[in-house]
Amino acid sequence: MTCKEWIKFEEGEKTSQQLAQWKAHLKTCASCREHEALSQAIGQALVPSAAPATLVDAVFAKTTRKQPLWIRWKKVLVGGMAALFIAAGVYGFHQRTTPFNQAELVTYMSESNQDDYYTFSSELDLFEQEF
Amino acid sequence: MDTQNKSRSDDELVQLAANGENQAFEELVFRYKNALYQYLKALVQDEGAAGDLFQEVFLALFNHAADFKAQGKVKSWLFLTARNKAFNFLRDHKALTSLDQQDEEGNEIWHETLPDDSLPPLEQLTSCETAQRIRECINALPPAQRDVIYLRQYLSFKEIAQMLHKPLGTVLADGHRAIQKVRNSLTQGEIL
Ligand SMILES: [Zn+2]
Repeated sequence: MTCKEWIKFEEGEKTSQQLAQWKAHLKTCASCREHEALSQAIGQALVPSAAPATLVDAVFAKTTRKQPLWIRWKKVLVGGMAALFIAAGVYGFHQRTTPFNQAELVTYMSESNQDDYYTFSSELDLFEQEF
Repeated sequence: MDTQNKSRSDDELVQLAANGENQAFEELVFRYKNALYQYLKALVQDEGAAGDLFQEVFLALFNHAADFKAQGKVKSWLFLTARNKAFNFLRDHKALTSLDQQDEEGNEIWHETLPDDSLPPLEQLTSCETAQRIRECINALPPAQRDVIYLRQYLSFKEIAQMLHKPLGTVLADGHRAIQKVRNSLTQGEIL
Protein backbone atom coordinates (compact mmCIF):
# COMPACT_ATOMS: atom_id res chain seq x y z
CA MET A 1 0.00 0.00 0.00
CA THR A 2 1.12 3.57 -0.68
CA CYS A 3 1.17 6.14 2.13
CA LYS A 4 -1.90 7.82 0.67
CA GLU A 5 -3.79 4.54 0.76
CA TRP A 6 -2.51 3.86 4.26
CA ILE A 7 -3.63 7.25 5.51
CA LYS A 8 -7.09 6.88 4.01
CA PHE A 9 -7.18 3.38 5.37
CA GLU A 10 -5.99 4.52 8.77
CA GLU A 11 -9.18 6.55 9.20
CA GLY A 12 -11.38 3.56 8.51
CA GLU A 13 -11.82 0.32 10.34
CA LYS A 14 -9.02 -2.19 10.56
CA THR A 15 -8.71 -5.86 11.38
CA SER A 16 -6.11 -6.75 14.01
CA GLN A 17 -3.78 -8.00 11.26
CA GLN A 18 -4.15 -4.72 9.34
CA LEU A 19 -3.62 -2.78 12.56
CA ALA A 20 -0.31 -4.60 13.08
CA GLN A 21 0.71 -3.81 9.49
CA TRP A 22 -0.23 -0.16 9.99
CA LYS A 23 1.86 0.06 13.18
CA ALA A 24 4.81 -1.49 11.38
CA HIS A 25 4.41 1.03 8.56
CA LEU A 26 4.29 3.93 11.05
CA LYS A 27 7.69 2.90 12.41
CA THR A 28 9.29 3.26 9.01
CA CYS A 29 7.34 6.22 7.57
CA ALA A 30 7.82 9.77 8.89
CA SER A 31 5.05 11.16 6.71
CA CYS A 32 2.40 8.83 8.10
CA ARG A 33 3.72 9.35 11.64
CA GLU A 34 3.25 13.07 11.19
CA HIS A 35 -0.25 12.59 9.83
CA GLU A 36 -1.09 10.45 12.83
CA ALA A 37 0.38 13.05 15.20
CA LEU A 38 -1.58 15.84 13.53
CA SER A 39 -4.85 13.89 13.71
CA GLN A 40 -4.25 13.41 17.43
CA ALA A 41 -3.28 17.06 17.94
CA ILE A 42 -6.47 18.16 16.17
CA GLY A 43 -8.44 15.88 18.46
CA GLN A 44 -6.81 17.47 21.51
CA ALA A 45 -7.29 21.01 20.18
CA LEU A 46 -10.98 20.38 19.58
CA VAL A 47 -11.99 18.90 22.93
CA PRO A 48 -15.31 20.71 23.45
CA SER A 49 -15.68 23.09 26.35
CA ALA A 50 -18.94 23.19 28.31
CA ALA A 51 -22.00 24.63 26.58
CA PRO A 52 -23.38 27.65 28.50
CA ALA A 53 -25.64 26.53 31.35
CA THR A 54 -28.15 29.23 30.39
CA LEU A 55 -28.70 27.44 27.07
CA VAL A 56 -29.31 24.11 28.77
CA ASP A 57 -31.71 25.79 31.20
CA ALA A 58 -33.49 27.41 28.26
CA VAL A 59 -33.94 23.99 26.61
CA PHE A 60 -35.31 22.48 29.83
CA ALA A 61 -37.62 25.46 30.40
CA LYS A 62 -39.16 24.78 26.98
CA THR A 63 -39.36 21.00 27.40
CA THR A 64 -39.02 18.96 30.58
CA ARG A 65 -39.47 21.80 33.04
CA LYS A 66 -42.17 23.62 31.15
CA GLN A 67 -44.86 24.62 33.60
CA PRO A 68 -48.40 23.29 33.07
CA LEU A 69 -50.80 25.54 31.18
CA TRP A 70 -52.89 26.48 34.22
CA ILE A 71 -49.81 27.64 36.15
CA ARG A 72 -48.71 29.76 33.24
CA TRP A 73 -52.26 31.18 32.97
CA LYS A 74 -52.31 31.85 36.70
CA LYS A 75 -49.05 33.75 36.33
CA VAL A 76 -50.45 35.73 33.43
CA LEU A 77 -53.58 36.54 35.46
CA VAL A 78 -51.69 37.50 38.62
CA GLY A 79 -49.23 39.53 36.59
CA GLY A 80 -52.09 41.22 34.75
CA MET A 81 -53.91 42.08 37.98
CA ALA A 82 -50.73 43.46 39.53
CA ALA A 83 -50.11 45.55 36.43
CA LEU A 84 -53.67 46.87 36.61
CA PHE A 85 -53.34 47.83 40.27
CA ILE A 86 -50.04 49.54 39.64
CA ALA A 87 -51.49 51.37 36.67
CA ALA A 88 -54.52 52.45 38.71
CA GLY A 89 -52.27 53.57 41.57
CA VAL A 90 -49.99 55.55 39.30
CA TYR A 91 -53.02 57.09 37.60
CA GLY A 92 -54.61 57.98 40.94
CA PHE A 93 -51.39 59.43 42.31
CA HIS A 94 -50.91 61.35 39.14
CA GLN A 95 -54.45 62.73 39.42
CA ARG A 96 -53.93 63.79 43.03
CA THR A 97 -50.54 65.35 42.62
CA THR A 98 -50.75 67.12 39.33
CA PRO A 99 -52.66 70.17 40.70
CA PHE A 100 -49.68 71.01 42.95
CA ASN A 101 -46.19 72.02 42.19
CA GLN A 102 -43.55 70.70 44.58
CA ALA A 103 -43.25 73.89 46.69
CA GLU A 104 -47.02 74.09 47.09
CA LEU A 105 -47.13 70.46 48.09
CA VAL A 106 -44.46 70.88 50.77
CA THR A 107 -46.22 73.95 52.17
CA TYR A 108 -49.56 72.21 52.07
CA MET A 109 -48.23 69.14 53.88
CA SER A 110 -46.44 71.07 56.60
CA GLU A 111 -49.50 73.25 57.17
CA SER A 112 -51.91 70.38 57.32
CA ASN A 113 -49.57 68.40 59.56
CA GLN A 114 -49.35 71.35 61.85
CA ASP A 115 -53.13 71.64 61.93
CA ASP A 116 -53.51 67.96 62.57
CA TYR A 117 -51.00 68.13 65.38
CA TYR A 118 -52.81 71.01 67.08
CA THR A 119 -56.18 69.35 66.67
CA PHE A 120 -54.84 66.12 68.01
CA SER A 121 -53.08 67.68 71.01
CA SER A 122 -56.05 69.79 71.97
CA GLU A 123 -58.27 66.74 71.73
CA LEU A 124 -55.79 64.90 73.93
CA ASP A 125 -55.89 67.70 76.45
CA LEU A 126 -59.68 67.53 76.54
CA PHE A 127 -59.51 63.78 76.85
CA GLU A 128 -57.12 63.99 79.78
CA GLN A 129 -59.19 66.64 81.45
CA GLU A 130 -62.27 64.44 81.36
CA PHE A 131 -60.53 61.88 83.56
CA MET B 1 -30.54 13.06 38.58
CA ASP B 2 -31.18 9.46 37.69
CA THR B 3 -27.76 7.75 37.72
CA GLN B 4 -29.24 4.74 35.93
CA ASN B 5 -29.79 6.88 32.86
CA LYS B 6 -26.07 7.48 32.52
CA SER B 7 -25.50 3.85 31.64
CA ARG B 8 -28.42 3.69 29.20
CA SER B 9 -27.91 3.74 25.45
CA ASP B 10 -29.11 6.67 23.34
CA ASP B 11 -31.86 4.49 21.89
CA GLU B 12 -33.14 3.52 25.34
CA LEU B 13 -33.12 7.16 26.43
CA VAL B 14 -35.08 8.30 23.37
CA GLN B 15 -37.60 5.54 23.99
CA LEU B 16 -38.00 6.62 27.62
CA ALA B 17 -38.19 10.29 26.62
CA ALA B 18 -40.95 9.43 24.16
CA ASN B 19 -42.87 7.89 27.08
CA GLY B 20 -42.64 11.14 29.00
CA GLU B 21 -39.56 10.26 31.08
CA ASN B 22 -38.13 13.76 31.40
CA GLN B 23 -34.88 12.72 33.05
CA ALA B 24 -34.07 10.49 30.09
CA PHE B 25 -34.39 13.47 27.76
CA GLU B 26 -32.24 15.60 30.05
CA GLU B 27 -29.56 12.89 30.08
CA LEU B 28 -29.44 13.06 26.28
CA VAL B 29 -29.04 16.83 26.49
CA PHE B 30 -26.19 16.46 28.99
CA ARG B 31 -24.60 13.77 26.85
CA TYR B 32 -24.39 15.85 23.68
CA LYS B 33 -24.68 19.51 24.71
CA ASN B 34 -20.96 20.34 24.63
CA ALA B 35 -20.19 18.67 21.32
CA LEU B 36 -23.31 20.05 19.63
CA TYR B 37 -22.68 23.56 20.85
CA GLN B 38 -19.06 23.38 19.69
CA TYR B 39 -20.14 22.03 16.31
CA LEU B 40 -22.79 24.71 15.77
CA LYS B 41 -20.39 27.46 16.83
CA ALA B 42 -17.78 26.09 14.42
CA LEU B 43 -20.24 26.11 11.54
CA VAL B 44 -22.02 29.44 12.02
CA GLN B 45 -19.13 31.21 13.82
CA ASP B 46 -21.57 33.25 15.87
CA GLU B 47 -22.27 32.47 19.53
CA GLY B 48 -25.77 33.95 19.59
CA ALA B 49 -26.90 32.09 16.49
CA ALA B 50 -25.24 28.88 17.72
CA GLY B 51 -27.19 29.20 20.98
CA ASP B 52 -30.51 29.62 19.16
CA LEU B 53 -29.84 26.65 16.87
CA PHE B 54 -28.70 24.58 19.86
CA GLN B 55 -32.10 25.07 21.47
CA GLU B 56 -33.89 24.27 18.21
CA VAL B 57 -32.03 20.96 17.83
CA PHE B 58 -32.98 19.74 21.30
CA LEU B 59 -36.55 21.02 20.96
CA ALA B 60 -36.81 19.01 17.74
CA LEU B 61 -35.53 15.92 19.55
CA PHE B 62 -38.00 16.45 22.38
CA ASN B 63 -40.93 16.94 20.01
CA HIS B 64 -40.02 14.04 17.72
CA ALA B 65 -38.80 11.51 20.27
CA ALA B 66 -42.00 9.50 19.81
CA ASP B 67 -41.48 9.22 16.02
CA PHE B 68 -37.85 8.20 16.40
CA LYS B 69 -37.29 4.89 14.67
CA ALA B 70 -33.68 4.91 13.47
CA GLN B 71 -31.98 2.54 15.88
CA GLY B 72 -28.42 3.40 16.84
CA LYS B 73 -28.56 6.73 15.07
CA VAL B 74 -29.58 9.26 17.70
CA LYS B 75 -26.13 10.86 17.68
CA SER B 76 -26.04 11.05 13.88
CA TRP B 77 -29.56 12.46 13.89
CA LEU B 78 -28.56 15.20 16.35
CA PHE B 79 -25.51 16.24 14.33
CA LEU B 80 -27.38 16.05 11.03
CA THR B 81 -30.17 18.21 12.43
CA ALA B 82 -27.63 20.68 13.77
CA ARG B 83 -25.84 20.67 10.42
CA ASN B 84 -29.04 21.29 8.45
CA LYS B 85 -30.08 24.10 10.74
CA ALA B 86 -26.63 25.68 10.54
CA PHE B 87 -26.56 25.52 6.75
CA ASN B 88 -30.08 26.96 6.55
CA PHE B 89 -28.99 29.75 8.84
CA LEU B 90 -25.90 30.46 6.73
CA ARG B 91 -27.91 30.31 3.51
CA ASP B 92 -30.50 32.74 4.89
CA HIS B 93 -27.71 35.06 5.95
CA LYS B 94 -26.00 34.78 2.58
CA ALA B 95 -22.82 33.52 4.20
CA LEU B 96 -22.91 30.33 2.19
CA THR B 97 -23.37 30.68 -1.55
CA SER B 98 -23.91 27.02 -2.28
CA LEU B 99 -22.99 23.70 -0.76
CA ASP B 100 -22.25 22.34 -4.22
CA GLN B 101 -19.62 25.00 -4.74
CA GLN B 102 -17.96 23.96 -1.53
CA ASP B 103 -17.87 20.37 -2.74
CA GLU B 104 -16.55 21.45 -6.09
CA GLU B 105 -13.79 23.44 -4.50
CA GLY B 106 -12.96 20.53 -2.23
CA ASN B 107 -12.83 18.00 -5.04
CA GLU B 108 -10.56 20.22 -7.04
CA ILE B 109 -8.05 20.35 -4.23
CA TRP B 110 -8.28 16.61 -3.73
CA HIS B 111 -7.12 16.01 -7.28
CA GLU B 112 -3.99 18.01 -6.66
CA THR B 113 -0.95 16.01 -5.66
CA LEU B 114 -0.66 15.56 -1.91
CA PRO B 115 2.27 17.20 -0.13
CA ASP B 116 5.33 14.98 -0.10
CA ASP B 117 7.96 14.32 2.54
CA SER B 118 9.90 17.47 1.64
CA LEU B 119 7.62 19.65 3.78
CA PRO B 120 9.13 20.87 7.05
CA PRO B 121 8.22 18.62 9.98
CA LEU B 122 5.72 19.73 12.60
CA GLU B 123 7.20 20.28 16.02
CA GLN B 124 5.70 20.34 19.49
CA LEU B 125 2.24 19.51 18.25
CA THR B 126 0.84 19.05 21.73
CA SER B 127 1.70 22.48 23.16
CA CYS B 128 -1.11 24.87 24.08
CA GLU B 129 0.10 27.41 21.57
CA THR B 130 -0.16 24.87 18.78
CA ALA B 131 -3.63 23.82 19.94
CA GLN B 132 -4.70 27.45 19.62
CA ARG B 133 -3.10 27.70 16.18
CA ILE B 134 -4.72 24.45 15.09
CA ARG B 135 -8.13 25.84 16.08
CA GLU B 136 -7.44 29.04 14.17
CA CYS B 137 -6.38 27.09 11.08
CA ILE B 138 -9.46 24.85 11.25
CA ASN B 139 -11.79 27.81 11.69
CA ALA B 140 -10.23 29.45 8.65
CA LEU B 141 -11.03 26.42 6.47
CA PRO B 142 -13.93 26.57 3.98
CA PRO B 143 -17.20 25.42 5.68
CA ALA B 144 -17.26 21.97 4.05
CA GLN B 145 -13.77 21.09 5.28
CA ARG B 146 -14.32 22.65 8.69
CA ASP B 147 -17.48 20.54 8.82
CA VAL B 148 -15.71 17.23 8.22
CA ILE B 149 -12.91 18.00 10.69
CA TYR B 150 -15.39 18.77 13.45
CA LEU B 151 -17.76 15.91 12.60
CA ARG B 152 -14.83 13.51 12.81
CA GLN B 153 -14.42 14.48 16.48
CA TYR B 154 -17.90 13.16 17.30
CA LEU B 155 -18.55 10.45 14.70
CA SER B 156 -16.56 7.80 12.84
CA PHE B 157 -15.96 8.29 9.12
CA LYS B 158 -18.38 5.46 8.52
CA GLU B 159 -21.09 7.22 10.53
CA ILE B 160 -20.39 10.50 8.70
CA ALA B 161 -20.67 8.75 5.32
CA GLN B 162 -24.01 7.16 6.30
CA MET B 163 -25.28 10.44 7.70
CA LEU B 164 -24.40 12.49 4.62
CA HIS B 165 -25.29 9.75 2.13
CA LYS B 166 -21.81 9.94 0.65
CA PRO B 167 -19.49 7.07 -0.24
CA LEU B 168 -17.03 6.28 2.56
CA GLY B 169 -14.13 6.94 0.18
CA THR B 170 -15.35 10.48 -0.50
CA VAL B 171 -15.68 11.26 3.18
CA LEU B 172 -12.24 9.81 3.93
CA ALA B 173 -10.80 11.89 1.10
CA ASP B 174 -12.55 15.05 2.41
CA GLY B 175 -11.20 14.39 5.88
CA HIS B 176 -7.70 13.72 4.68
CA ARG B 177 -7.71 16.81 2.48
CA ALA B 178 -8.89 18.98 5.37
CA ILE B 179 -6.12 17.61 7.61
CA GLN B 180 -3.54 18.31 4.91
CA LYS B 181 -4.78 21.89 4.70
CA VAL B 182 -4.36 22.31 8.43
CA ARG B 183 -0.88 20.81 8.15
CA ASN B 184 0.09 23.18 5.35
CA SER B 185 -1.14 26.26 7.14
CA LEU B 186 0.67 25.17 10.32
CA THR B 187 3.98 24.46 8.66
CA GLN B 188 3.95 27.24 6.11
CA GLY B 189 1.92 29.80 8.04
CA GLU B 190 -0.11 30.25 4.90
CA ILE B 191 -3.47 31.93 5.07
CA LEU B 192 -6.16 29.63 3.79
ZN1 LIG C 1 3.53 6.21 5.11
